[in-house]
Parts: sequence; C-alpha cells; structure tokens
Amino acid sequence: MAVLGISLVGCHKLVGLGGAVTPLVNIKVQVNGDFSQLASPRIALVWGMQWQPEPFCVVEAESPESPAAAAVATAGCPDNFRFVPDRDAADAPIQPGSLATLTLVDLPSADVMVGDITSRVAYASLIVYDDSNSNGTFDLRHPPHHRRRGEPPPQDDGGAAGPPDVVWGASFISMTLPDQRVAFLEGTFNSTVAFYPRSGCPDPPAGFSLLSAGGFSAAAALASVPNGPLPLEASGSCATAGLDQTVFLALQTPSPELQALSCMANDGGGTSFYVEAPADDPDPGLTHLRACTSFPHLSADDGGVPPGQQLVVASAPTEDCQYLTHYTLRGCNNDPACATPNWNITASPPGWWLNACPVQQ
Amino acid sequence: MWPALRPDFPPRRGVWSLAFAVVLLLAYPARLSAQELSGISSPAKGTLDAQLVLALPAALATGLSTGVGASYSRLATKSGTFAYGASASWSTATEYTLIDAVRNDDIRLRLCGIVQRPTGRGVFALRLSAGGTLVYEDRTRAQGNRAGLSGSALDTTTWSMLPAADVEGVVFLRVWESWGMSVSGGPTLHIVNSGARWGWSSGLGVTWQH
Repeated sequence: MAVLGISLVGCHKLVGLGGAVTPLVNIKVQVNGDFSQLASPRIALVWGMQWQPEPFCVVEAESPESPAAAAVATAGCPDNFRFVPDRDAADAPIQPGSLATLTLVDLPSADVMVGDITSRVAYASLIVYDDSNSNGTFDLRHPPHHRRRGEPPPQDDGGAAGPPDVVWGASFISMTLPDQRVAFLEGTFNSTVAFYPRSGCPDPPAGFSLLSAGGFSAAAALASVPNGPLPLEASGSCATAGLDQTVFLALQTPSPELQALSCMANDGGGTSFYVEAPADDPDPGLTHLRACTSFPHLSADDGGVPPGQQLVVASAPTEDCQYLTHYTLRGCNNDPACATPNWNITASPPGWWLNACPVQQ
Repeated sequence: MWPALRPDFPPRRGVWSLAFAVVLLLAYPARLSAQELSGISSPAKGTLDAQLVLALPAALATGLSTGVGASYSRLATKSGTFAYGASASWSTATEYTLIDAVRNDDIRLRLCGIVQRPTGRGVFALRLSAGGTLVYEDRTRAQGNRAGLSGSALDTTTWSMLPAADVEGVVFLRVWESWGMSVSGGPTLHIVNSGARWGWSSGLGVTWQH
C-alpha cells in the first residue's frame, strides 16, 4: 500500500516551519548621482511616526518673542513639518544607476500605523545613507531623554556605536518639500487623521502604494495652524502608483535637514518637557544658545498663558539631533502651571538663574 | 401525614426525590445488579478498533497532531499469539511562525503484525507496523491577506508520501459483550527529506471483537 502510494503521489519536498521567506512586497529603487564620497551606500525603508512640534518651536517660528529666542529656536527646533523616523523596516546596498530591491517581509506593526483597526495608515520614506559604521542598518538616534523628577538630568542614549550614518537623500524629507512616500493602508482612509496629511490629494488605495505630493510652504502651514487643517498640496502634484513602479531618487548633499531624518523624537505629542532649574548652571561655558522667555501660547489654545518664565537651551550644533531643554523654577514635567508643582524654588532660585532669567515673576 | 399544601409551605422537593429513588430500587432490583464478568479464554478472531489519535506530526518539527483512526486485525494462528491487520488514521496539526502558518495533515497507512497475550478480560499486544504516511502540507504566508498577496505567494500546498514504521504497545479490554476499549502508544519512524525522524503516536479507542 505504501509503495503504491509513493509511486502514485511521488516525493515532493516538505518545507515545514523553515524555508525561504516569501516577501510581502518588493520595492525597486534606483539612485542616481555621484557616489564617490560614499564608502558604503545603502537605502532604507523607514516607517514614520506621528509627531507634533513643541509649541515653543511653532510660536517662535511664527512670531519670535526676541532675537535670542528666535536663535534658540533655529538652533534647537527641527523642521516643524519634517518626516520623523520611527522604524527601519528594510535595508539594501545600492550602486549608482542600478536597481536595488527593498524587500519587506513584515507589515508595519500597529505602533507605526495611525488610526483604528478599520482605518489605519503608515507612511515610509526611502532614505539613502552612507553606512558609516558598516553595521548594515540605518541607525536612528534619539535626542537626549529627559528623566522624570528625582532621576538624573538629561541623558543621551548615544545611538549605535561608531560615527553616525550620513543621510545623502530621501524620498520624503518634509511636508514642505515634494515627496514620494510608501504608504500602507488598512481599511478605509480617514482624511481627518493628521498624519503627514496630503490635503487635496486622492485617498491612498488599500494595501501598499507609492504616493507623491508637491508639498506646501512652511509659512502657509504656520498660518493654518490655528484653524487646524494643513494647506492644500500644490495643484497637480499628487500622484498614486503601485509598488511595481521603480522609485528614482537623486543623491543630495548632506545637510542638517537630511541628517534630521536619522533623529527620532522622544515625545510625539507636541508637548514640552520641563525640568527643574538645577543648583548649578547646566552650561556655564555658554556653549549652547539659550533664551529666557515666557511660556508659549498658541492662539487656538484657550487654556491661557502660564505665568512665569522659562530658560530654553538649544542643543549644540555639534550634536547629532536638534532638541530643546526647558528649565523652570516651578512646575511639573508636563505643565509649568500645574496646580500642585513637583518643584517650586521661586522663593530661592539658584544664583545663576538670576543672571539668566532676571525678569522672573 | 403530609402537611397540607399551602402556597407558603410547599413540600420539600428532596423528600419526593428520595421517595422516588426508593421505589425504583425496590421495583427493579435485577436491572441494577452488576453484569457478571467472565475471563476470555482465547482472543477474538477479529478486532475492529476506532481511535482518537494523538501524535507528533510526521514532518513538522513541533506540535501535536490530533485526529481519528481505525484498524482491523485478524488472528493468524489458532493459539491467538499472532495476528495481522491494517490501520489507517488521519490527524492534523497547525503551527505558526512569524512568516507562515503551516498545516500538516498526516494520513498514516500501515500494515501490521501483532504479538499478543490474553489476560483476564484484556489483551496485551505489541503491534509492529510498516507503511507510509501521506502528508499534505499547506503553508499560508502570515500577513499575506492583509498585504494583498494572492495565489502561490499567499498559499502553497504539497503532497508527500513518507516511508514509516511504528512500534506500539496496545491494550484491549473487553467491557461489555463484544465491545471494549483500547489504549495504544509507541515510537514512530518517518523518513523525511532523506533523513530519519523519530516521533510517537498514541490512541484511545473503542473496539468491537468477534
């Protein structure tokens, strides 16, 4: 019986729980440009996170309180409309002018998708970089994490070992620039979700797709902040394609805007993290720009302006990621005007504070 | 004397139940007496066995394959020491990885020889089987439906016949007239992709003997 069965059925190889991995999608990319300065050119597909800039950065970009505050915002605020990376999902080496294939073996996980289970979307940017530490992956870095009260002062996770990967181009850098993004939509598209919106463009199709948009100006976007929706994309700049299309990218000159694509955000909620002014000046050498300002107030926010002042310190130009540190004499980590402050040293501020913020109320 | 039935004082339900049970005991003593059991002097000429099967999947590296099976054996000698027969079973197991969901259906087809010894109302046996296991493998790409995959990118199937041999200890116990139960279990050997793979199988079933 068994012999008969073998002869009838034949012997096909069983794969079991191993075997080759079937890609969920392949993305063909071609990067053109002068690769002579890149030691280890690669391209990565990076899913983005939902992020809102700090109110200080929005207010200072719209109407600076002082030249010093404007300088701090310029030094410490990343682009308010930038693409913020969340997860490197696929990576591949590239050669000038030849096709590279990015293979996705996993769908974007729920934490990089925005929306509920019947209507959620994820967007990714294709980032060209020089793998400086040759670890074969695009290393994402954090700005220094602020610790809660009672814990040590700001700490930096340091990122991956070795020099940081240098970004040489990307398909999606900022909403203020023309972009091409990889999209994955589950369910129906919710156009009210403020996740890298493409106002005026058609909804993305279900599943994977390649979307394009022309971008809008930062000034128009800041002007629209009190009203809610971002400006319409430039007329005729919207496009939708399948991932069977090849994505063409051009090598760009490294810049802080490009390098910011390797910087994650510690808080995506558009809130500032306040810390107690330490006993000693955190930057006695004044190597960081800083400004004493009032607390920001968005015109659409009816919560009122918190009393008092803050000392805002910008990251140094030599640091990998731009960020701000907010020092106060009174408050909580998330609210300088909280009813029961975690710290209140307004009666006896540290000596250095009187020089840095002499108008403390 | 029963108390008068009143809406606020109903008779106790437990008293009625107890009375009913006593009547049953007195009226049907024969039905409630135990069946007299007698030893079996020689094994039955034929045994039909239907079993629930638990086994290690023939080709999957892990998991528990569950299903049903049947066997029939017949005496080969008058002494009842040797018997022969055939068995077939179907069982299935599904295992999941981050990449695939793999379902294996194992159809085990065996010819067997049995060495057995009756003891009381039971029979202890050693069953040696050889044959093949027909494996149907169905692999479905995890997340494939959500990603919009179709066809062979989403789902692939394969049939394969694996040479196999089993050794099982079996206990048959006659319970009532020709009906009884069986318990079996033991190691199995499959040749999978040119390599030997050891496993085990077991069964719990109902038997009918004649």
